[in-house]
Amino acid sequence: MDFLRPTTLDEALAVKAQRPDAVPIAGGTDVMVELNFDHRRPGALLDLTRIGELAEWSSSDGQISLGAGVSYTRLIGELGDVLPGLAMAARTVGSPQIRNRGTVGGNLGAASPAGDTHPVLLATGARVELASVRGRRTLAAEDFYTGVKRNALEPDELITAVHLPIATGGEQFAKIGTRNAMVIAVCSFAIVLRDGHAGAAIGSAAPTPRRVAEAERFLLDELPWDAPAPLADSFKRRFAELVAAAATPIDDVRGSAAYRTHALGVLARRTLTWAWDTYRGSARACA
Amino acid sequence: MSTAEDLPVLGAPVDRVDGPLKVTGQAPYPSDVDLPGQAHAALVQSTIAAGRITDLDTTEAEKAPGVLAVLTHHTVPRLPRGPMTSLGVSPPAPLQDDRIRHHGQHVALVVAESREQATAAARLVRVEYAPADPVLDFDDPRAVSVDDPWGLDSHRGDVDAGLASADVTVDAVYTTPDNTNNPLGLFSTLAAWEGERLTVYDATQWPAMVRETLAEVFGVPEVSVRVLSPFLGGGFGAGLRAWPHVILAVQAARDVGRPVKLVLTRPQMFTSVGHRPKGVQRVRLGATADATLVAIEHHSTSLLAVEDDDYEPFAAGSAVAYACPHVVTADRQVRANVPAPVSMRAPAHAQGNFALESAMDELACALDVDPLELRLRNHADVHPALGLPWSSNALRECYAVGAERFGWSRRPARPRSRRDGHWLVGQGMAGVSYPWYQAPSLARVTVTADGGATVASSGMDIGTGTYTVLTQLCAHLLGLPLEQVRSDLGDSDLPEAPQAGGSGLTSALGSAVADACERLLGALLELVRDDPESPLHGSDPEDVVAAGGGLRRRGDPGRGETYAAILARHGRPQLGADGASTPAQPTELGMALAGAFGAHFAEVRVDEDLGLVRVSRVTTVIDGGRILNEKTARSQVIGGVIGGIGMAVFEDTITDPTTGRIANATFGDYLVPVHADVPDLDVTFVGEPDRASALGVKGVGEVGLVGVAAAIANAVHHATGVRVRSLPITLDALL
Repeated sequence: MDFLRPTTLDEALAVKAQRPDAVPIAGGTDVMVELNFDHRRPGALLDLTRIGELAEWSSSDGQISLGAGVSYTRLIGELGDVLPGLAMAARTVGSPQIRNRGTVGGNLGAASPAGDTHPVLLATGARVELASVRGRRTLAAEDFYTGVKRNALEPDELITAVHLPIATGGEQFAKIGTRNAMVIAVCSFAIVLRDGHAGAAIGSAAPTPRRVAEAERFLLDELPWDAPAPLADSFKRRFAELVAAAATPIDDVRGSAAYRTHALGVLARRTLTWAWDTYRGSARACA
Repeated sequence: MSTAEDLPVLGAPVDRVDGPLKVTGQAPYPSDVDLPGQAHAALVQSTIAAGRITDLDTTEAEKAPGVLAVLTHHTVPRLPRGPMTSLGVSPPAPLQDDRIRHHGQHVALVVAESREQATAAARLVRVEYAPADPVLDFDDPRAVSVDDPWGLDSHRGDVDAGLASADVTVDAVYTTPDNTNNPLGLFSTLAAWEGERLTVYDATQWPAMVRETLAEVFGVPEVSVRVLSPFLGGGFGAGLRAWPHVILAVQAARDVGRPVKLVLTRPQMFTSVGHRPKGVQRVRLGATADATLVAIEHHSTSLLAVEDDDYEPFAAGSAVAYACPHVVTADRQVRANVPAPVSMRAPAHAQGNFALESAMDELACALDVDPLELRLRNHADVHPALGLPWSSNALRECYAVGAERFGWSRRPARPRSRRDGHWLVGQGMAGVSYPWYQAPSLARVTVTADGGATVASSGMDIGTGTYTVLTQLCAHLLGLPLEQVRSDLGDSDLPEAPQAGGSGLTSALGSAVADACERLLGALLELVRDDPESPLHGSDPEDVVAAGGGLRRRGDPGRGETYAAILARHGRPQLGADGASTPAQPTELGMALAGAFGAHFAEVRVDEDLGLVRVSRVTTVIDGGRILNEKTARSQVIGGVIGGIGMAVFEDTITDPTTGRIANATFGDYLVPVHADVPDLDVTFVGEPDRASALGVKGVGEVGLVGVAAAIANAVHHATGVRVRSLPITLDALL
């Protein structure tokens, strides 16, 4: 197995074009687990940690461009105020050691249905930036996840960044784990409410992380956006039903399908309440 | 003659004497040890649970880079099974035939120049099987069962009559799953032969037993075998046997003529070094309306490997937990194609107490009496079976102090009485009567020319503080500062001590050290008494104390001399003495030998909509007799409580019901508590030195775990009104 260590993005893309079998590795918190269990044995590892620009983020026009190699710890510390939903998800990842190593780019690369950041990326309408020697393109997050641990990357492409809008309303992420930390999600849910946008997505409850389109449409159409008032229980219940209906979970050692479906409804109800409260607060502040 | 009367170091919360070695990475844990020229080994394990190997092709593996040997049942000589030990039979010898008895059984061992080469080549071993339909659970009609495996079943009074006379009865079935010991340190064996001399660095809790086993299996004298285990990355019982992989590493070293090192992988730790076996227990209790117990009936069935034994009398403890005239306890084991179970911290009692103390809570609810009051009313003031007074028993004080510290009196009687947002808050408690256990032990104490002393024993420190308490004890008895005492442990060449297990080592080994110190002081006194040059010349033994680094005249500390001076004048580089301890005999003493007692009070928060259980606080009070070191003892109990939290809400080794494969054999899937799951744990010690122990010590290695699961399950019931009789208490159980 070759260990390739480019120092610039151009070099990395050239290597990836030559060696499409090379598995990109950033923090290694997923890839090394797979290697240790011999679940995969790639011809080469492509170490991305020496490429400075992948570990940077920038802000312009109400958007954050988050380099694929920014660690969860930095994301929480440096962007927690502008990307509160993503930071919430990042705080639930693993342990401090894993958050020091792990990255959103790596989460996308692994594309596990249980990956913690995916529901937020979906709910906020993030775009994933991909690059190859052929050029750059961006994909809506919902077009990125194509199957269980599968994504839309071409063999010569690398994930370079994620573009997300700065939060202007309410963002929430909730995850159910059987213990308080170091745990893979039994299921997870994210919701983002801002003017003209209602995003909601589920994790660990379908082959891919997925948006819950009907539930989003319900919010967009039915939320009292112009006169933000507390929501009736019946409204929250309806939302919860739509979310639960979109889930197609499985039974596994972490939880039953029935539990996941039920719990998603509970998370949807709770996070809607909290996100709407934040939205109402921000709406009042702007008025 | 006596030792210093003040207690400057004994009992004090002294920091671990081996702490600096450990935190600087210098403590040689078994897998840290390397020898020149060593080769590395990797196991191949079966992928079926029952049947036979029809073909085992090692051609590709033997051709792989760096491979030195591949051991299979074709190459390994017929080896005898290891000896009967004081804890039961040895595991079957490995690679003796083509039979498969459980999924994950070792079927080959690859030896190579590097660990990576061995691991890679192990994947090239081709095994063909003729699988049989495995027996995997209790209800399989083909399963062979063993009734009363240890002769511990008990009958007292007439339990049917007792139940018939009861005003209130409880009849419930409780289940506990397989749990895996999962010490953090991967078990490892490094074996080196020099001619017929064998040295083995092994992850064991019992170096003397491994020495005896290897001598017998490989046909060499015990004196030519040395087993070292000076440090261990935890064991929780997994290190109480000489497992098949240990035998294989030694055989491999003999085959290749080089030292061979075998380190298990985490998944292999689930199949190779034992586990706490699953069980089903039925408990029937009867009480009169005034909350007096009149009947206890406790039956258990647990799972056992097909060709092995395991000491796991779940129900036996219920015979002595409460004053009760009519009692039956009965244990049964069922053989299945599962990896061998082993003692896991508080074997049998962890499971049995969960059933009994849950049933007691159910009885309290049925009687409408406070659960604590029910226990106090039926407290065993004398040993319930022997009728003898306890050698020590502060269980009532455990309850009283615990209730006070926890605020039990403010607990509302009715379930579902307290709520905090979507969290339901509940409180539960459980009592613990842990059994006495002790084995004979030897130890040697030596004073050296520099005036210090050394304790030597084959007994080992499983990580609990044995180095520290023995150092404290010796320093105290010889009147030396801690810094001048060193303990050498975990080496089978040193005087034989029992296993670090059964909560019995501190009392056994400590008493042997105390005996050695007494003999040593006697020998020193003999030197000075007849020595005209000594300031203690002619002193009577009762006029001399050990203090200030030597022997002193009682009441006249200026008159005396240091050990260094005594040795120097007599031209001795050192002077040592052997000590011994033997277990007390209850009939001679007229007392029932008491183990530790304890009480746990737990508070849980249960998310009403999601079923999440979070343990928010636990108060634990332990009667461990005399506590030699308040800090290490507290850490022991804290660790036990955390193990109990794991047992209550997380730990569950899941076996695939058709293949017998363990489905969650990693730390990502087998959940143990992490820091964020462990609330503030309040631990207090009460009680007096035990009258039957030379030191007054009762071990505290296991008692902290027992009862936690019941206290939590009882708290969950108090929070939610839902009685969970099956561990672990998972999310879906509460919806």
